[in-house]
Amino acid sequence: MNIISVKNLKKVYGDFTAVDGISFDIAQGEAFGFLGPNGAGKTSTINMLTGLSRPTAGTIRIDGIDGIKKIKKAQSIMGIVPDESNLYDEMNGFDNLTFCAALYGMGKAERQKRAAELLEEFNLKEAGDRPFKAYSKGMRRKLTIAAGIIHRPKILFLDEPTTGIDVESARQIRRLLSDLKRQGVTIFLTTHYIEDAQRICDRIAFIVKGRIVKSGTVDELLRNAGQEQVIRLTLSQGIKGIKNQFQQAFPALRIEAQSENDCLITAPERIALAPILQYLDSKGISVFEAKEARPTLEDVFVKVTGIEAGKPHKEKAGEHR
Amino acid sequence: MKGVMVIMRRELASYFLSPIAYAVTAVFILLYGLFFSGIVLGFGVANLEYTFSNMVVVLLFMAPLMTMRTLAEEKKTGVDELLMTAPISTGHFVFGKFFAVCVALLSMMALTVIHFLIVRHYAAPDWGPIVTSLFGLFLAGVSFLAVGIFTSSLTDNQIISALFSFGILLFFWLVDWMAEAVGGKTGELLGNLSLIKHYEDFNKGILDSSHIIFYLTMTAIFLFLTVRQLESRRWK
Ligand SMILES: Nc1ncnc2c1ncn2[C@@H]1O[C@H](COP(=O)(O)OP(=O)(O)OP(=O)(O)O)[C@@H](O)[C@H]1O
Ligand SMILES: [Mg+2]
Repeated sequence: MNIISVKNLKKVYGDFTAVDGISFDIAQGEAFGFLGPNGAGKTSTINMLTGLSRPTAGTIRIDGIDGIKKIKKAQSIMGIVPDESNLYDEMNGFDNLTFCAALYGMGKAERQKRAAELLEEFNLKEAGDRPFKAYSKGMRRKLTIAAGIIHRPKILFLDEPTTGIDVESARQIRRLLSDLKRQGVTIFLTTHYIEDAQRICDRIAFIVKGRIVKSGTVDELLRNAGQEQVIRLTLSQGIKGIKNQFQQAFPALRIEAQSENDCLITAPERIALAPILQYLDSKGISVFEAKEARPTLEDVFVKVTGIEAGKPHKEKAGEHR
Repeated sequence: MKGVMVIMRRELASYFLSPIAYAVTAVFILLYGLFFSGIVLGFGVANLEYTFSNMVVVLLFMAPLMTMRTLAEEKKTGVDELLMTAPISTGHFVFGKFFAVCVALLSMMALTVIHFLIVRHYAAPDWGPIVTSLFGLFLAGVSFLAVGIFTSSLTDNQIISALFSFGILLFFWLVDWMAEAVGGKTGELLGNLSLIKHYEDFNKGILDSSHIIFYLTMTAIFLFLTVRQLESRRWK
């Protein structure tokens, strides 16, 4: 069953279209990732799903509830981790957590127990009675996530959960999200890190300039990108001298010299290695290693968006607003 | 209703942690004491009427300071997002905030009890006007607070919020003079909006439902405007 169903969702700010008629479904228990560069419309989409901003057009259904007209009802099953912290600076970590739990109607004894548990789990136990404003960036991020899950939401929305925190904390967050997924929580996250998307998400949508340009399971996306078979050979010497001859001997393949002693062999179908090895051997070149070069999700992303993911991309001339 | 309590409790805790609460209370009590001793002790009348009419003006200046943080600060720090995405209706949320400042006002007014004990010790005051004045003062104060909550929803800057509510309250205070200048039907209509005029009867020990309705209506209108203002943020 689809717990989230979005149709033709659109958000226009003034005369600027931030989200341009996107549609997608998320199944119960699925982890769905929105991957896209800065300004693609990821946060705008999350804000519409969580009731922070009203869509200009389109429909949202959340667990069978109209996500626009009955948003308050839908919000009771959501947990939200926004891109910037949404907690009280002057209140301590523990109080922030129990307040968030109370907002969702959790009883006193339970919310205190749960807050203590979460502080422990996130290594924030000692910081529990310090005011939130005294937290480091990573600690703030972790407490914000704890606040988002304290009421055991059915759907968890996370806007760039691992941005701006250290490797260890990022790993911890990924582990936590995997655990939540195992417990059946539906996860919607946005990120510009391919790694996050690949490790956590079952399905990914690439969003660029307010449109979903491609979506599918991680495997599907990889398969589509890798229609071609690519093999990398590591040789005893370069093939520069024999390049043309080599290519003529195997017209069905595309042969490229890579770095000094490497070459790439590309073909539309699977490549039989024996004839190639024999040929090279006859030319006095030894083959030390033959490795399939798999496309990464990043390759797919670059291919469909033309943008280097996770890096600031150069705006084309004339595209500046 | 549970949501209202959750919001109110947090708001009160944070209000009493802020220095503004103590500064406002201190000035309020100090001025109250001054008017009290100046009028009651100075003139030797066991009548708190004049003290109270001065206190309405004092409240007019205090209410914007008591409410300026309520919504503006949250907008500035991004906590408003937490509350907008929580399953608590905007109405309950605004009521929670509003009741909290009302409790703060009540606690401040409770401190004035000591003065009544003094009066009671030395004289036999007429309790009627004292009780109605006190009630009127609270009612007027509550409507000032509603105005303050509204202006706090307009901005993320506390000072601007306070200035706006001063502006609105001063307008309603001074509208009386304007009414006289304008005269005629329009003048009469304007005169009916005067915050001070509606207070006078309470001071005389008269409980007139039209005055009670005036303050309650004013409170309701500004709370309603606050709800609308907060909901309109979603359209942005
Ligand atoms: N309140 C707003 N008013 C006007 N324009 C807005 C508003 N919010 C977002 N935008 C614009 O909409 C576009 C999409 O913004 P959004 O925040 O959704 O991007 P994003 O994908 O989350 O980017 P990032 O990776 O930087 O967080 C941007 O061009 C942004 O400038
Ligand atoms: Mg964003």
